[in-house]
Amino acid sequence: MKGYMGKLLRVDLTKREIIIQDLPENLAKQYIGGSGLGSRFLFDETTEKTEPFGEENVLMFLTGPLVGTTLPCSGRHAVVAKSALGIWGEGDVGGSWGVTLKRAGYDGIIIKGKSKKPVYLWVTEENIFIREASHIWGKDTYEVEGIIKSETHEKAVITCIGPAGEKMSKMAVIFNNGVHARAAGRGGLGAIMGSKNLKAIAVYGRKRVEVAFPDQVRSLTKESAAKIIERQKRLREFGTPGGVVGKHKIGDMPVKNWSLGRWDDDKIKKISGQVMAETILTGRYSCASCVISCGRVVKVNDGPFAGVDGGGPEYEACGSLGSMCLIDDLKAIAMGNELCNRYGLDVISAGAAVAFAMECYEKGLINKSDTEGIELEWGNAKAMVEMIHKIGKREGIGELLGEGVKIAAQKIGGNASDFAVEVKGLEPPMHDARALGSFGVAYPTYPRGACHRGCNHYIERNAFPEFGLDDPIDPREHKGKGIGVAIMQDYSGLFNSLKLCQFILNVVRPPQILEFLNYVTGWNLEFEELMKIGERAFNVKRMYNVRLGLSKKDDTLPKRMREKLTEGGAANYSPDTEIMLKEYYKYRGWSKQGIPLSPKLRKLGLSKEAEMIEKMDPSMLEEF
Amino acid sequence: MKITVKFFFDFQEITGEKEIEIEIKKESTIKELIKLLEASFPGVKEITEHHEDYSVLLNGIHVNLTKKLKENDVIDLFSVIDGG
Repeated sequence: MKGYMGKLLRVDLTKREIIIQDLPENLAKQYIGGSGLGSRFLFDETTEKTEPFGEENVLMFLTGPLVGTTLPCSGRHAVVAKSALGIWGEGDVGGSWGVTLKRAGYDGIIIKGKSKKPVYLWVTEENIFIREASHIWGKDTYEVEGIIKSETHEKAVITCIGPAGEKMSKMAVIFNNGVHARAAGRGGLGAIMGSKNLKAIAVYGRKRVEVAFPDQVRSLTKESAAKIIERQKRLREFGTPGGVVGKHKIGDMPVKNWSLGRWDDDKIKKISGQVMAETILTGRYSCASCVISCGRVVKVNDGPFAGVDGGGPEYEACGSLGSMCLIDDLKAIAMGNELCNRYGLDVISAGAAVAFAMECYEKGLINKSDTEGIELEWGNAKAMVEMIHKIGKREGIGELLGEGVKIAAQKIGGNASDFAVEVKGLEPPMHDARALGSFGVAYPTYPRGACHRGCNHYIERNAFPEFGLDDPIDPREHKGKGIGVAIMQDYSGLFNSLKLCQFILNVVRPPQILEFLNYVTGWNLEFEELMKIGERAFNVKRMYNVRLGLSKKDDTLPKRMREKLTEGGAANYSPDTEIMLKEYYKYRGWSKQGIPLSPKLRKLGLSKEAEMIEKMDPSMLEEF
Repeated sequence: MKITVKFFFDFQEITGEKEIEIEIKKESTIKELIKLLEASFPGVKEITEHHEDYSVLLNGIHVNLTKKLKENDVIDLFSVIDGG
């Protein structure tokens, strides 16, 4: 099976049992890899009764067929489990761990059970070890990297959790590549790893990934790499924070916990990638096989936040720790970001939780005794950094905030839920549905909660003639957004299955992506079939949540994101999720209650899911 | 009819202007304005040939290129880096 190593590693931590299993080609052809393949495994191997932190939850690390080839921007992997939020959970991440796992001989690792003591896995071509990890329990992700390398191999690549994962924070994620800190698993997949007492997985190998048509893959690599380098040179120069000023101008970047449509232009500029490049930037980081290098490497030598040294803030961190908290100090943001990396926290959720807490403080819902003396005022950079420490250590109010803003608001009470911005318990990334209306349907419908990686906002910014999306749709137009989002969710999902970086999504066009797959695997897939694979995985993820009782009632946009802004490029508009959802459900072949209907499921070959639907209450299955 | 175009970031560097007034046919769309700017300022097209590389505000509001212009409208034109 070209492109694949053909093997999956199954580890049961309760039984300390290791099984090497063949990856069936028919399964690969139906789901490709990554989160697509993960959707099948998770649906089949857990039930609606599976507790997120129970032994029976399954934590998967999955690559795809392009990983480890020369194709540009293909070195990624997926992490899949029932999330700490109790729903479908997935993460998509770069770095070099996925490539190294394949070079050790495996397409993926599937972990069940729970170890009695902290352990880490050490996987090579020859052996798999379950090793004692008590000595690194409590260490941060940067420290773990060095210690495990010294115990295994200098070229071993490590993915691990920090203290936040060990303490099962719902915003704990999983990091690889040490100080370069590539993060996976929004929705607390780091906590799932922590619940299994699994601190890290180290991998090393030198096997090669064989491709079916080496000459064609070589020429595709050359041709597409040149195109990507040319088109993404500004992303290389300024990284994702290079988008800060422009996104603020259109009202996309949230300000003051999503309450303002614009901030001071000079303050925004201070937290941009352009200023970062002139000040604290010391280098650029590339994931395996990347030709863009959007990753930032930063160093802070002076001032109260001196000591930062490693992976720098992305756009999301500039938003969550910056504009969301009214903090215009890039060095403080770099410190907050590094602390999230070290504790193993999702910087989007952690920053959003601090911004939420600042609003609670302003409104008198919490006070200085709740914060243990921290003056949690808007713009207080030192307070933001202290709060990240508290969330990371799960100390004081940090323990509650680490549960996410939904639960924190319920506990804090008052009107806190009115400004707790989340969908299905997950804090949205730094993109506002009032600026780009398609998020008004994309956030409510993504199975892991508010997510910009499961779709993307190119519908307003980019045409996709290959899918009949001939022109970008106006930010405030509703018509066409439901269909556009459904198509782009399926297509983006394919990137998460192939394990391609979405930063090439608008550069390498769909017919070429199909060539990537066919030349690597030797398959002869038609484009229609490729899209069907994307749609199949999306429906399985949806069905995972339907089995848990989720439906249209859960496909909502947060109250605050439905309130019109009064200033900035997104002023005076609120997306009508109801209109867009109707178009979306109808296009997807789902019921008025958002339940995938039997004919659609059977057409996708999902007979098990179809049987489940056929037994459901008919009132949930009314067709359009 | 007369409209005002304000240039930001890369557009300011390329055109050497912060703000211009420009005469354009009645009922023109923003897309047609962009074509006019491409013809008047060499280098503008390098950004505008890809819609995802820039954004437009019409009288302060984020819009797409099909919107029609009116006398005295103000356009903000600026580059955007996607991602993140």
